Amino acid sequence: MAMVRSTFAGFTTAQLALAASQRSIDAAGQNISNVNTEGYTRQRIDLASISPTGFSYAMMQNSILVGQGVQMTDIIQIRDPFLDVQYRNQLAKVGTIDAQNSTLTDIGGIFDEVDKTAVYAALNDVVKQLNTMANPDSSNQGSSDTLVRSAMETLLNVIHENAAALDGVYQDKLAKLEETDIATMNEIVKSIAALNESIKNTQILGGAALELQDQRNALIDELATYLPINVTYRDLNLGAGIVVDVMELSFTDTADPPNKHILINDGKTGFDGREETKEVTNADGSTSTQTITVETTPFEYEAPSEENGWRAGLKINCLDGVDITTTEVKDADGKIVYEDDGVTPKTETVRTPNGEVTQYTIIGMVDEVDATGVPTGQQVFRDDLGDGVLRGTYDSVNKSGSLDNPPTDFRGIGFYQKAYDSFVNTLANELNRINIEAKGKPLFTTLDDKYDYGTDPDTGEFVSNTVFTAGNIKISNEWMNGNISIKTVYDMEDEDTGNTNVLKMINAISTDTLEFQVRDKDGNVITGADGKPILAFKGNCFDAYNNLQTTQAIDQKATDSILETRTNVLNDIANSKDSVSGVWMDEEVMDLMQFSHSYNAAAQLMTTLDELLVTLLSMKR
Amino acid sequence: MAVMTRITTGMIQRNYQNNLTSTLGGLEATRKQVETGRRFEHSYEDPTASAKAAILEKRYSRVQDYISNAENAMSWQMTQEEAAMAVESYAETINKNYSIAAVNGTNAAPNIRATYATAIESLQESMVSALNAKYGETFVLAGNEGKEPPFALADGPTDADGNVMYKVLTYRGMPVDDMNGTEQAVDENGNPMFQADGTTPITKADLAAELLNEHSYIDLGFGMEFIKDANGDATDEIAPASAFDMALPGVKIIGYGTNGETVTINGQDVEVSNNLVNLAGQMAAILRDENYTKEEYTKCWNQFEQGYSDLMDSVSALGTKYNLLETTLDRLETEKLDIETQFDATVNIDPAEAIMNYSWADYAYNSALKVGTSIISPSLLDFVQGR
Repeated sequence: MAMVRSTFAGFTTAQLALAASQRSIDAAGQNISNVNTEGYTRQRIDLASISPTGFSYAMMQNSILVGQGVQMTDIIQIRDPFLDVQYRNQLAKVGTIDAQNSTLTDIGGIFDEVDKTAVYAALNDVVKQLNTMANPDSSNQGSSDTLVRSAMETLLNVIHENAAALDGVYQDKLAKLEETDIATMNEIVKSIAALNESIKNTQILGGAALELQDQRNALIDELATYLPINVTYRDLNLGAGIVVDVMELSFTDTADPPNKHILINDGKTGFDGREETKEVTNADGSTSTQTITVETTPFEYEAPSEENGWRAGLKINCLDGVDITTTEVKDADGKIVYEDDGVTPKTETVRTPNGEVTQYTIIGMVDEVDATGVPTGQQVFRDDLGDGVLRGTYDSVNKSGSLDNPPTDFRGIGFYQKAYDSFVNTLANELNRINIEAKGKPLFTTLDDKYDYGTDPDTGEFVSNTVFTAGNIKISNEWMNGNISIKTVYDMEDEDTGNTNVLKMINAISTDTLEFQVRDKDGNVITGADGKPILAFKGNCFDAYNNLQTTQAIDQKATDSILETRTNVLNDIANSKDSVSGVWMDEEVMDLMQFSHSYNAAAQLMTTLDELLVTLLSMKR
Repeated sequence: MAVMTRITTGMIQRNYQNNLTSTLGGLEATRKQVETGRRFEHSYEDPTASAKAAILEKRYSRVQDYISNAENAMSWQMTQEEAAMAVESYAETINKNYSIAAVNGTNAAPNIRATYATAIESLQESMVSALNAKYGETFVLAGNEGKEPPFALADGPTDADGNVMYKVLTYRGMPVDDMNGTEQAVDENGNPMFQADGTTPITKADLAAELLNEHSYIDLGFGMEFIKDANGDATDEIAPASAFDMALPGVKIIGYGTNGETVTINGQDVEVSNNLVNLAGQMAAILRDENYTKEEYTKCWNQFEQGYSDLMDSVSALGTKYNLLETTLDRLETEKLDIETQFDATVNIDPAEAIMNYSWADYAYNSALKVGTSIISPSLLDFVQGR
């Protein structure tokens, strides 16, 4: 005999069907409303069929059990986490090249003379005036000397302007790092941690927190443009069957081997402060150790200083804290292992992560350790940042390409500063040398009116002890006042109209091959690995200056093309993401129609059941 | 990339927007080309062309410098030539009017000789004025000391009574007759002068050689370079073929030193000069001499004729130099035009090409816009029948 089902059981089925259809229409409605929302992931109700329940041994073979309706198991987001990872990696790559390109554009605004008259034209004018002075009818005339000096003044003015502009670009980038990039990153970390708390709380209360997760993903994407990050989720069992998502956000650096640094763990971030022990001198002169909590932010910017070679630095306060304990080594049976002497037990250091905030230098000077971890007593400059806007900006302010020792892989602002200063220094020292060797006086001095020179004791040749930079050169006061002039010949007298010295100067500027050595901020020559000075250029002065324009042009053309390629790839990944998570209007409308019908059908079921019941109940009369 | 099974509204809009932006970018770029006539505004748009343009710009400046140098040199050269021709004309007067034949016969009478002598002496002064010609503020026949007049007349040898017989020429303070002398020179304190080794004496000819070897080169685009010594270092000398020499020590064209013969004037024996001015003076003094003989006059006269012929040669050599400047100037002007053409080809764009590019980009942009209105297409929503 077949089991008779519960009389009112059908109503539950109909009711569940109604609820499911209604909720599904709500979900479709939510998707349609958010079709234009940035970063929105489409939602879907998961429906599962309810199995029949209530088996008993008394059940006969021929009973037929029908399922008991539809159950809404969950509302989910349709999102492909693998695509998310791809997208964030590509964001970081685009960020690097974008930041580098922006620097190159700024530098181009200074050295690109394709459509403006600046240094190159002024230098041409100087040579023109020298050529006029070389003519015997102009030689040893006060007027021709004045003309040359005016041309030099114009040249130096433009040189100063360019130097100031270049320094401006440098300072702007540093300010951007400190006040914009790193400040923004810290804010994002704070927001993400706050969202983590909200999401967790919502999930504890039973909600899915899908919109909050979308918000969090958008923030993570924004952070991913700055540096490469990884996100992992793990389940946290809170007991009583409640499981919530806990998110961990970390950054893996490019050291060998790479280190993983945890930036956010659930609600804990680098804002939590770091404990430091300091030695304090008490009033009575005795020293004691004090543990204080230092306020920290997840990302710390370090301004360029002499200690780290005038490079900007980056420190992170991450949750990498470890407890270091020494324990005795035990073998497989649990017996203590002894050292060679058989008496002392072997000990090993165990590092247990405790999630406390520690500071780590990503870019900066650190103490060098050798392969076994023993400090060598030296300091080495570490740069372990991966891709991202930070990488691009730090490269711009720290690296000078082939003019670094050892050479680096990007020609940042430093390259142009060093090459430009080298151009000015070589040109001015050459001209000074030519005039001094003709028994004249120096034509250029530093801003404090000094020019120091002498003769090499071994070769008897002229040696200059003054280093000019684009910012500190000026025409000597004596020349400005007309007290000295260019010596047109050796030991020029009043009646001389020869011009050998002027011809030398002309050649020095436009044809002679000169070596443009590179100097650091203290004025010392930078030597390469072979001990020889690194040359910014070897050739004549015109070509040396033009080299700046050409280098910048080639670099910018390359970064432009790479940027375009990477942006296209990013767009493709975005399309793929959209294909999975985006809202497709036609699909949603079809869902609306579909669930609208199923709602009608469920209502129809309810009506039918109602009629059945009425029929049943009216059977007694 | 993942296979796409769904085309979402957001994707369509974003891609359309990206493509429209890039089409608009192309339109903007071609519009700038049409407006400015240049192919590129920044060097990164075409690094090779920018580098070439900079090189052309430098060459253009240099060629302009050479042109201005050449034009100046031509004026200077003209002044030198005119000065030489003036001297030549005075010498020609002497040559024509006071030759041996002219001082023959009845003209050998003392009063006529005295007239001739006075005439010759005044011509001597005229020659010196002509030799001190200036171009602007600089003396053109002074070698490398053009701020001071190079030539001056000083008192020459005296007779037994102490009267000056004739005036002699100095060039830059040095008597021109001494300029091929082999005696040892003395400095301003009267001490004999020696070479650097302290033993070899410096002769007057050595001192003169310094004055005669002065050069004043200017760059006319012949590849001016300094001569390199054995170590490859540059010396202070310019290679003569690599530049144009504007300096001309004036003595070279009018002769210097003595020729070894002697004449007797007023009982004094003096060496016959090679210099036209000095010879004129000597000839005038001989004419005034009471013991005038035709033989004495002839000695000087022959040398004068020789000197005059040399002067004529120098003048035509100066003319040749001027022609060189003219051809150089022509060549430089042609080169300047060449550079302008090359620069135009490197940097500028043909206006027809620019407008054509712009039209095409405009068409592409308008097409993209038209497509856009149908992209934001109706969805299923528009077709659902109302209830």
